[in-house]
Amino acid sequence: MYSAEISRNNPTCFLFLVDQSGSMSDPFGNGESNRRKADALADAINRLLQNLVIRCSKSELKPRDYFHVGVVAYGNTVGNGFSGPLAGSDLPPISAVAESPARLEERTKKVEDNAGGLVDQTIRFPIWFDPVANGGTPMCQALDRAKAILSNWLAERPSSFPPVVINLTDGEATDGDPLGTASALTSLASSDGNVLLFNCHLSSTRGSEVQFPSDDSNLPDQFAKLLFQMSSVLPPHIQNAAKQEGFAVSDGGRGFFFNADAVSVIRFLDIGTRPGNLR
Amino acid sequence: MSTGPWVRVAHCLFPKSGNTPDECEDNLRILPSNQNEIPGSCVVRVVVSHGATESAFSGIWSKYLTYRIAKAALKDDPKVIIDAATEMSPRWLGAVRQRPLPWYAEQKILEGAFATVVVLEVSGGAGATSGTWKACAIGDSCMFRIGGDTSFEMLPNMKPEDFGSRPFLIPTKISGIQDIGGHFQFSSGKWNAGDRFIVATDALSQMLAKQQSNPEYLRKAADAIATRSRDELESWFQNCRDSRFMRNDDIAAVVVML
Repeated sequence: MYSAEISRNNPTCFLFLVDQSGSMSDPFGNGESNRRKADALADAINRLLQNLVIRCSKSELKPRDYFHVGVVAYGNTVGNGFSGPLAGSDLPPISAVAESPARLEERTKKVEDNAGGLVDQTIRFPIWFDPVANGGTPMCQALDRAKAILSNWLAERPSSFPPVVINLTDGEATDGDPLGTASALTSLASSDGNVLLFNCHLSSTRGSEVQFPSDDSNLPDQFAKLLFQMSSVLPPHIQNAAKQEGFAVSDGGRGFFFNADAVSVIRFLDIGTRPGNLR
Repeated sequence: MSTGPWVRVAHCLFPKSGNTPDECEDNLRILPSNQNEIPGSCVVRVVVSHGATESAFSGIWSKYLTYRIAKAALKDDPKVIIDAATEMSPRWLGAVRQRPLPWYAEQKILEGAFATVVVLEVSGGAGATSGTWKACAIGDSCMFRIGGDTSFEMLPNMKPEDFGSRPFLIPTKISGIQDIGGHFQFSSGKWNAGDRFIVATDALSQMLAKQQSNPEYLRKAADAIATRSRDELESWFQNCRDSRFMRNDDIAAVVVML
């Protein structure tokens, strides 16, 4: 289980659920005083997409389509979170995502020169999403939409590595109790296992970062505890991969992050050799 | 004294199933490079390398390393290989930046490339029935020695479960190259007529490691690589992949038969 090869012939998919509700305009609780939750979320989703594109990049000029990626944005409305050419597909291939950021921002970064020193280099950073905070939090509707999208995906690719859904939210659903709809989503399965639902909780509540907890005892509020309950228990294969990446994961650890670096969520999916000294 | 050649060398190179041949990130180099010159030489040097899948332009890095490392005699410390990597790093950077790149390729290059390396040097000469060998390895490409007396040696000495997807490799970044000295492993010994060496990248090495307690299987594997046609080898490897006895990945292997 959770061991199907991820390849261009047998891709898997990531589906991001992105909370763009009005409550996301509140401050982010990780100590950065001027940052809103919406800013943290936009940064997280842009970095997640960037990370996925770069992982699929090889020697050719087009990323290999190991992944298909979709975004469901929920706030004032519930719908495809991509704009432009990506808006026409629920799960475009990663190469299409790579080619279609909304814009590229230039930033300066220190990089090694050929002699082992550091020089400033202008690097282009892709931006697909800007911060949005508007409307209620129809999380149940977003989960339902995710279920519909993945039902179609699994009908076409029944033996794929199970899809991974990543919900980035401040956790305050306004259209009902999301636990039941989350359970319906994770009841979908390929021949390699059930759909996985990971939750990245961006909270205004101050508290220590939490990654892959086995219980909710260290979680600060009811919203965090609910998202923890909704999150899939890490299958053994993925638990081992997460440990290899340096995460402290114990049996029963769930795919739940509280005010932590969301990019860590996807680091451990195995698409080939990763050097132990890649930093 | 033997009347046949003191050594025979064979090799094979296959891309991962589903990939094209030019997508293969494994490389190998045998010196002398001309097969006809091997029986008359006193030293045969083999370098095998695997470019890390998740790093940028790793096949190019692996190729540069094998060619450069093969030029120098193997010593008992890693300086030869570290110097080779240091020399080739700017060449790699120049090669991958030859044309305008999309944003993701630019960022991928910043991470650099990584590769495993295993080097085997066998010394003998025309008519020899015994001699010496030495080997060096970093990462999870491996050397196997199968003695005619069923003795066995593996470098690095790894169990099948040790072949994870996070080995320590040779980077293109100069600062990283200086840090890898402690991650090399060395071995040496004597060979006798009838011995076999297999030098292979990680997928095949892991499969062979599963048969560590069965030297006869390893001898047959060596003989198969040395004697079977390319189509027969491809079919055998694909069967191993389909039955999950071997991971689906590129394969580079050199067999040295004494």
